[in-house]
Amino acid sequence: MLWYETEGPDEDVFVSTRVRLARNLIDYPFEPRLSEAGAKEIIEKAKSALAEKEGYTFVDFAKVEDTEKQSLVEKHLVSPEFARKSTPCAVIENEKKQVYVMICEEDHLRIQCIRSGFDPHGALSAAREADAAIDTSLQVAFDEELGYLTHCPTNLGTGLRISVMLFLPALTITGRIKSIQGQLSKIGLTVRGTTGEGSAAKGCLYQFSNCVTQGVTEEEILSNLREAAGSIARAERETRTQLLENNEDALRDRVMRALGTMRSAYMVGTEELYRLYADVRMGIAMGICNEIAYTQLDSLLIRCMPATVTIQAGNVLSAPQRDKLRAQILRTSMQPVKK
Amino acid sequence: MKCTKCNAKEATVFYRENINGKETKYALCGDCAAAMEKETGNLFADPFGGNLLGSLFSGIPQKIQPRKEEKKCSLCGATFRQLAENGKVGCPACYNSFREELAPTLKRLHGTAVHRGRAPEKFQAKRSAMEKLASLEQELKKAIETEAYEEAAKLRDQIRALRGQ
Ligand SMILES: [Zn+2]
Ligand SMILES: [Zn+2]
Repeated sequence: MLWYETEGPDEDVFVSTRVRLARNLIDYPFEPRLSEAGAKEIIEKAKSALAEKEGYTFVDFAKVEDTEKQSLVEKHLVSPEFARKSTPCAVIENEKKQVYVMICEEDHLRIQCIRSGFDPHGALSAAREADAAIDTSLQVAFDEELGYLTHCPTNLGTGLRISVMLFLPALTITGRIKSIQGQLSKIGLTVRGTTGEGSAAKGCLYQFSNCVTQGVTEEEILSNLREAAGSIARAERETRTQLLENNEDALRDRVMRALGTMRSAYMVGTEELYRLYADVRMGIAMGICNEIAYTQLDSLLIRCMPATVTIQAGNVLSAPQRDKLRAQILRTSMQPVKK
Repeated sequence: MKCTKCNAKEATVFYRENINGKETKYALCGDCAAAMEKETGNLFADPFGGNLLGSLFSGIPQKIQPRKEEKKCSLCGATFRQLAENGKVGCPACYNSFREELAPTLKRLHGTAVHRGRAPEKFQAKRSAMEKLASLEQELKKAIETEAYEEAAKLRDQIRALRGQ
């Protein structure tokens, strides 16, 4: 099961939690100094350390088609930079544990675990299992003073980055998100719209992660994040209640219109999909449309992303053809469950 | 190259400032750079905003000729100049090869923090041995103070054994 097909804790505010550990091998330079032969050696070493373990599967990325790579990006399983690489690279995945190890990304090894909802502890434990296996059989670059050595100095120390994807419609509608972003940056956490800086967040989705990686323990990073996540969730939930009290009719109308569009439109573009997604998801959170589950909606959003839609079609599609197929997927998936 | 401000210490931080088209170049030692940063508050761009890679290490004046014998990383052969230009190190060993040169940048990124998180197993073992040693020495001190000589002898043996490993 992929992360978005499973239920997770506090899904009304948290879509997913991703944990990443950056690890590197001594004796190998980073790109661009890493030779093709060196990259292949690293891949072989990672394979010997992990791929023979139960549950882990090796995927040679050179043999993966571009659309498939793009679809893995849409599923948040690999980074966009990794999908664009033309030099040797590979993935070792454990679908059951939701662990994906990118080999020869910016760092030699990037152990990722992504879970549904807010689950940093579960995600970190799963990533650590792969980390321990790598540690026992390979020579990982480490310095007693600096910690785990990484390609970019910003990741030094624990090499741990936790990113949480938040769904914050009420804070977005009321504009309160701005002041929250400011407060969080003061305690070493960043929040940005998932589609990058500046622009409004698509689907009211925000990415929230720790900046500090050195001089703190993993547990401290976790509890700092947990505390901040708790206060954002509280603010969002309070704002939702206020919004519902003051504008119930308008909100109901907005949610039901979005649901209606999903159930009957004939062509839907990605931009519109994000808007519909946000409105319906808010409707679930506010108890306006109870017959739909978060998992259903979150997996629908991913299944409707351009590359993933194309794979379902089995052949190359033009943009209008994609919009048509997307609408078809929405129509069939969003029909009310017959009682 | 000497620091252009104090003219005493070796310059490790290079910085180029452009105000209304007038370019000023600085080559500063770690101390002077820290002092200047405090003074202006924005010697370097915020490492988490905007152009992360370009601003992570300080920019380097382009027209300064490279010194003849520039230090190179023992593993990957990179010079500090190349590290600064890329904003990233050449290999894991660069952190050791350029420990001093990187110190101001790392200090700016992480404060003076020393790693406290998890470590690979062999370091973890070393770390707990160090902690054990420290506590044994504490006990030994107490044993001597209370004139528990038999106990002290035992502790001394344990410490010797641990050190010998
Ligand atoms: Zn100076
Ligand atoms: Zn190096």
